[in-house]
Amino acid sequence: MNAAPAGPTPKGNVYVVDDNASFLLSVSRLLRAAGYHVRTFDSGPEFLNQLTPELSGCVLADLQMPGMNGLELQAALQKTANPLPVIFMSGQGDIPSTVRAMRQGAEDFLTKIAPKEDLLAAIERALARDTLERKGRQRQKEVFTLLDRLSERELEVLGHVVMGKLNKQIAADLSINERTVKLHRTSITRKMEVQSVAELTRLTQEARLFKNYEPASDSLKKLLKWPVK
Amino acid sequence: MSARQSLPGRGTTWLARAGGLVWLGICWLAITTSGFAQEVVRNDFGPAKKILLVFSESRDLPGNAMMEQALRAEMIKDSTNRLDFYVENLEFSRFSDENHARAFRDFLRQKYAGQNLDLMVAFMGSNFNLTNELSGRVFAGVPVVFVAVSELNIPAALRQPDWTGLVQRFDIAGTLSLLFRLQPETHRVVVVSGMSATDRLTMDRIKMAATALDGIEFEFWTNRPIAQMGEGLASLPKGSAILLSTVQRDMAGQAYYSSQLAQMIVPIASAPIYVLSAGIVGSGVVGGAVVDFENLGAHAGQLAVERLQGGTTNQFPVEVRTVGTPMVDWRALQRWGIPQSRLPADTVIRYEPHSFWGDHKALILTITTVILAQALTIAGLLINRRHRQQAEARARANQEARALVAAIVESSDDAIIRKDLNGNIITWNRAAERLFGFDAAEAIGKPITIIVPPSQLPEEMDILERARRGEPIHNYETVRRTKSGRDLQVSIAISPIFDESGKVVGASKICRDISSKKEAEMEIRRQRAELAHVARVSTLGQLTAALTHELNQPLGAILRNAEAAELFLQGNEPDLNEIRAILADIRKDDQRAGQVIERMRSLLKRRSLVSDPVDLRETVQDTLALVGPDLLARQVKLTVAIPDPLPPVMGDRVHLQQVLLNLILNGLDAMNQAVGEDRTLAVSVRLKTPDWLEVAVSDGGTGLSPVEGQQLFEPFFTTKPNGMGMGLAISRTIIEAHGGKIRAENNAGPGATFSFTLPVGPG
Repeated sequence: MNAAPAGPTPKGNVYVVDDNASFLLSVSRLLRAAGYHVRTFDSGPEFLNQLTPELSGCVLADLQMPGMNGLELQAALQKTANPLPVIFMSGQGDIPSTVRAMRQGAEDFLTKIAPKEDLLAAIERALARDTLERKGRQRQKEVFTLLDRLSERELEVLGHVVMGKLNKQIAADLSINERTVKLHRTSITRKMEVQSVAELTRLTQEARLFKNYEPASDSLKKLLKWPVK
Repeated sequence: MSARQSLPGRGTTWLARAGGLVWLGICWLAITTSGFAQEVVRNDFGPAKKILLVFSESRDLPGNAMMEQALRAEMIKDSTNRLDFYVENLEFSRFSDENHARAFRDFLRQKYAGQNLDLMVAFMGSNFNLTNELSGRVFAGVPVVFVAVSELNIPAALRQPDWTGLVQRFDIAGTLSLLFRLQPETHRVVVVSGMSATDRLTMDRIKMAATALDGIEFEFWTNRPIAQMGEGLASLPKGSAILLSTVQRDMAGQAYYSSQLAQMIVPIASAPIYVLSAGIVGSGVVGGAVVDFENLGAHAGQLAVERLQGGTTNQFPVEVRTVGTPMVDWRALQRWGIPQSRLPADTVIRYEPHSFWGDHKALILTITTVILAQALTIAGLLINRRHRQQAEARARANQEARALVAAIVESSDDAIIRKDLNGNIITWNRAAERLFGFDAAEAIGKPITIIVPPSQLPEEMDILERARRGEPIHNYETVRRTKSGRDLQVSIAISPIFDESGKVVGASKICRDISSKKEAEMEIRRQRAELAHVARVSTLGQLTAALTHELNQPLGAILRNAEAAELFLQGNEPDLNEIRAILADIRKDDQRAGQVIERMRSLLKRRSLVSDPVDLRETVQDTLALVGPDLLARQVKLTVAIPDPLPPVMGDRVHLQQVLLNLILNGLDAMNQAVGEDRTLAVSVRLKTPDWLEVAVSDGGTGLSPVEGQQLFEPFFTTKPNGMGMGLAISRTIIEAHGGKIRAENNAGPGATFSFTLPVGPG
């Protein structure tokens, strides 16, 4: 990755969290010079206080900090609506904390004296991942907005439709009129803004892949194959 | 008493005149046969006389037994008739109801009906209680001799035509006067008395006697059962004495005989006990002006004999005795340390060990005199001979001693040199030859300065001066030089040598090579420093991870700043102010990194203990800077309390830092399992006294087990899996080298506190 001079178009947001003021200043200088938009925080809580769901980017956090350390900051971040990727920095290469950090989904783990190239590459990866995840979260939101439009009965019918069942079979299974099934299918395709059964099936499959969204109604859970109590 | 004439005491007067050892054998013969000479010849002529002895109490009581025996002996001795004795006991105290008395009366009447008794002897007891039983009701016409030991008025019933007898009063005044004669220091008399009518009567008499004694405190113990007096009697203060009055019945109604009672209280009483009756002397009491039962019995015996021989009532009035016999127990005198010289002349001393001297004084004196005369002659001859021999022996010993001294001097491992007051060598032993390389021929006559290096000359002058004044010098460590010019570490001792008039004529000098000892001391010191160094290195090893972090912080900042500057410089119009700021920051971080390295380096440097003024605040802060990252990594809270201003201590900063480091790291290790507020390390410095500072490191960890507490500062004692066990041992060495003390104790709450003291330095 080539170094770029500071320019008017920032490449992305980097939130640096470190209790050591001189390191905080030096790293923010470097990242600004490398073209990132940088905000610095001297503690984890300080950063979490200012975090809003819209903020994109990545977090560069010191592993050893008094009060909330880097791992604790990451764990707290995961519970928010905006789980930004975290890159850890440490004064030392401490194996157990590295392993733990990676397991919790840290983007990268760097020593404070790692070369600039390693640091910037890690930031690029983290930003890319944030973009991807942010898109995914956006798509998930869209899909569920569509699904939320359907009534209980329509969700039931949809479940049968994506299994490839004919109207007659659906009517028998649900003990309703075949005509009524047809009316439901029309309503479903209209509400879901799709043209074909294939599209309906793809949307439903996609919805089933979102693991961190808990459906509100039992019918929806059934459709998405979530366990129902 | 005619039989006693053959006693050896009489025989010794002519024996003494005769003198000589030959007679000793005859004396022995006399002593051994004297026992047979006391045989009593009984007269069994004439018709038998029947005598009934009646006791109001048991005849086994010591007093009664004594009286009976004395009475019988007296009667048998002087009687011309055969005597038949009949004995009866009423035992009033034990069987005190009227039925028993009546039954006894009837029993006697029936038993002795037709016996034609010649005489009845009544042992009345303290309250004349046989009077009514016997007077005219049982044996009308049988004459009666009675004996009573009583304080009561004599009943009119006793004054009967053919009755006669003796009434003995307790000699209370006599006993008290004996008490104060034997123990003049007594100021308190505890009177133990009973509750029966007789007891009270006796006590009243004692009270009367007491009023006559000024300045003596009397206590009357009657209001508690005898069984409960033990403790009180056992804790009487010095200057107390006990007067045992009569105790027929105590507060609890328990009946006693005085002799029983004495046996009970003698072993526990912490003061000597005086008594009123001879029956009790022998049970451990001191004694008193006592009722002498033997005397009483004998006297009654005489009365009885006279009565049997036909005396009349008018000739024998009732005799009242008020004076007791001074009587003491020799063993009790020994026990209470009462000198025998205080005894009145007529005192009866009982239980004195049989002494040969007492029995055969004159004989022993005679024999001793003869032997002495002979011995003196022999001794005179021997002494004469001894004088001659001693003179010869002294001369020989003198010679031997000189030879011995010479041999010791020659064979000594220490150089022994004698010099005159001008410092010239007079003698020079073999060890001196070995040590200094000069042989005796070379050294003798030369000045002592041949073995003194020039730098020590003034010191040698001083030594000579002190020797002239006759002052000795002990174990003085200095340097002397050999013939080859090598310097030796030596310890010297100088003793002045006096002539016969006491004038100093020279000095002897003992000189010991202590080079190897000095080297050993240096070696120990070096090893200690080495060990301390090793321990510091190992301590730093524990800190490495944290120190890496500490060092990477400024290094990382330097790197980022440099990288940023490069990027800025690649731009079209680099912001020079920014670059300058970056360079200033790089310099600052570089200094920070330098400080971290310096802190480590000073700990890693090999060094010996130095003593400079040390600011403990700085030392504590430096140490905390070293462990700061560790605290952070371990999530331990730190509190620091250091007063301002703080006087400096004298000592070695690095070594003190090592101690602090040890204590802090131990504290952190102890808190590995602690949670919450317990994970706090408290470091404090305080001025314990104006002369002592105390530094304390307190943790909230597991604390110390009692075993750990004892061995904590021993080398190689460790509770850590990878510990060497040297940290605290070295810490103690360091602190003690500073003159301070180190200790450890558990906190009131969780954890332990290690603290050490250091003396406040000057200024």
